[in-house]
Amino acid sequence: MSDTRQQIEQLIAATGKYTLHGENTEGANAYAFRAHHVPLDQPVFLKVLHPDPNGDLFAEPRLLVEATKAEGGQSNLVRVHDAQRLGDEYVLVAMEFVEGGSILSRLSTGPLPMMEAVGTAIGILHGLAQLHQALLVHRDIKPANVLLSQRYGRTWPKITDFGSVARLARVGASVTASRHSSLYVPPEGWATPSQYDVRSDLYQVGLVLFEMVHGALAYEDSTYLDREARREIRAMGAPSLDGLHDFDRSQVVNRALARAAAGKSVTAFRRMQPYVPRSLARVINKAVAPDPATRYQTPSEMIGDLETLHLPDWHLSACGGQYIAKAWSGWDWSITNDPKKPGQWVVRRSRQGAANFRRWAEAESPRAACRRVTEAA
Amino acid sequence: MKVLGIAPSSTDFKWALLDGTRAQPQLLPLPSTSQKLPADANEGHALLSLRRLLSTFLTEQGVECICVLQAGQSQFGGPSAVRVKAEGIIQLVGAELGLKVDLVALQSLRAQEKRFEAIASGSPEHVLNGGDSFKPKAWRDAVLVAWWGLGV
Repeated sequence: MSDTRQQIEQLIAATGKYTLHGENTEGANAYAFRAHHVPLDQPVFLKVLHPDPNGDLFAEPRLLVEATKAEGGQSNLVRVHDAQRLGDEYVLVAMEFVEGGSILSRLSTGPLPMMEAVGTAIGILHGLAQLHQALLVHRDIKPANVLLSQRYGRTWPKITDFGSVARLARVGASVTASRHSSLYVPPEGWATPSQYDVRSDLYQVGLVLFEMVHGALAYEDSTYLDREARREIRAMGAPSLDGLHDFDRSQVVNRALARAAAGKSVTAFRRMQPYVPRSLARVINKAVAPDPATRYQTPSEMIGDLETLHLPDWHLSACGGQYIAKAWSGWDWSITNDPKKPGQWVVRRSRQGAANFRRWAEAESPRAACRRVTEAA
Repeated sequence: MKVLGIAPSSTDFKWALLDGTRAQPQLLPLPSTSQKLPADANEGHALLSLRRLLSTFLTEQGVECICVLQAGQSQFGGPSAVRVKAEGIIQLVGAELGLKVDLVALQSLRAQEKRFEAIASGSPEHVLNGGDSFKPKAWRDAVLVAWWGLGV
C-alpha cells in the first residue's frame, strides 16, 4: 500500500463516518473505495479527489450535495450524500452506490440499440439540466462517467465523477475547460484562453451519443494525427506516436486534437454508419458543431429533438464490410455487397436461431438497404 | 412575471413565453415555438417523457405561471384524448414545481382577445411580433393565452 493511500485511509477513518470495505481502485486523479456510511446506514462509493486548490470544488465541496439532491429518486445524477475537505489537499465525496456498469463497459460489446442510445442521451441531458440549474458545469462527460442502472424497465443513466465540476458566476457565463479527457474537449476548450459553458457539456453529450450509436468515437488512435503532428513526432526522434514517452505523446495528441476540433466538425473524421437515420445524424451534428452559437443552447432543446425521433430498437452494427441487425420481432438481417452485381447491395434475412439466411431484397447503397430493413420492422 | 402560454394539439405544443404586464407585454425568445409530443410506442413512457421534458424546460426558462388553451369540442366530437392527457401532465408538472396552472377556455380567450388592442395599445402582431403575423396560426393562440396569464 502506498504512503499516500495509507494517509488517505487514515484521514477517512478520522472522519468517523465510514467503514471501508471492498476493492479499492486508484485512478490518475483520485482514489476510490467501496464503503459504508455509518450515520446514514447505507453503502456508498467514496471518491477522494485531488482538485485544483483554487477551484470551486475545493472551496465548497457541499455544493455537490445540494446540486445532486432530487425528490423521488428521479435524478440522472449519482446522488452525493456527503462531501467534505479531507486534510489540506483532498476532497472526499461519498456517492450513492449504483449497480451496473458504465456506458464504456457496455460499449465493449458493440453499439447500443439505437433507441436505448437515444434514451440514454436524454437521461444524461436531464442530469446536466439539473447541474446547470445549480450553475454548475460537469466538464467531463464521457462514457466512463455515465453509469447505467434500470428504472421503469428501461436503461436509466446516471452521471458520476464530479471531479471536474466548476461553478458558473451567472447564467450564460463560462469557465476554463478541463482537459482531463482530451478526446472529449470541445473546440472552445482548446482556445486560448480556454472557455467552457453549458453548450460545451452538450457537445460532449453529442460525442457520447455518436459513440453509443457507432460503438466508437469518430476519431481515435492516429486518425486525427495531421501532417504537423507527424513532423513533431519525427522532430522528437521517434518513428511513430507509440515511440514517444507518455507525456510527449499526450502533448502531441492534444495539439493535433486542438487543430482538428477547431477546423471542422469531429464527425467529419468518420462518416456516419448507413444505419444511422438522417434525423438522428442531424441531432448529433448540431450538438457537436464547432461553433457553440450553432449548437443546442440548452439541454431541453436537445431533449426536445431527441424525444420526437422514431427509431428501431434494434442492435445494428458494422461487421467487416457488412452490416448486421437483430430485430426484436425475431428476424436477423445481414446487408452485404452483392457478389453477382458489383455496386449493388443485398439484404438477407433469417428467423432468429436459424442458420440459413435467405435473399430478401436488393438496394443501391448500404443506406438504402438499412432503410428497407428498418421499415420492415 | 414570466408566463408560458401553451396551445396543445394532438401532435405537438405551440408555446410562447411572455413577461411584463398586460399593458406592456414582452415576447421572450425560445429555442422553438413548438415542441412535438414525445414518440414512444408505449403511451405510458411517452407521457413520462413529456413530464420530464416539461419539467426540465420550465425550470430552465424560469417560468412562473403556465396558461393552457383548454381542449374543447372538435369537429370529430369530444376533445382529443391525447390533448386531454397532455393537459393533465402540464397540471401535474406545474404542481410538482409549485407553479400556477390555468386552463383557458377558447371562448374566454376570444373574449379577452377583443380587449387586447384597448389594453396594450395595438394589435398582438404589432405589440409582440413587430407587425408580422404569427406563423403558424396556432402559435398566435399560444401567445394570446400567455398574455391572458399576465393579468391573472
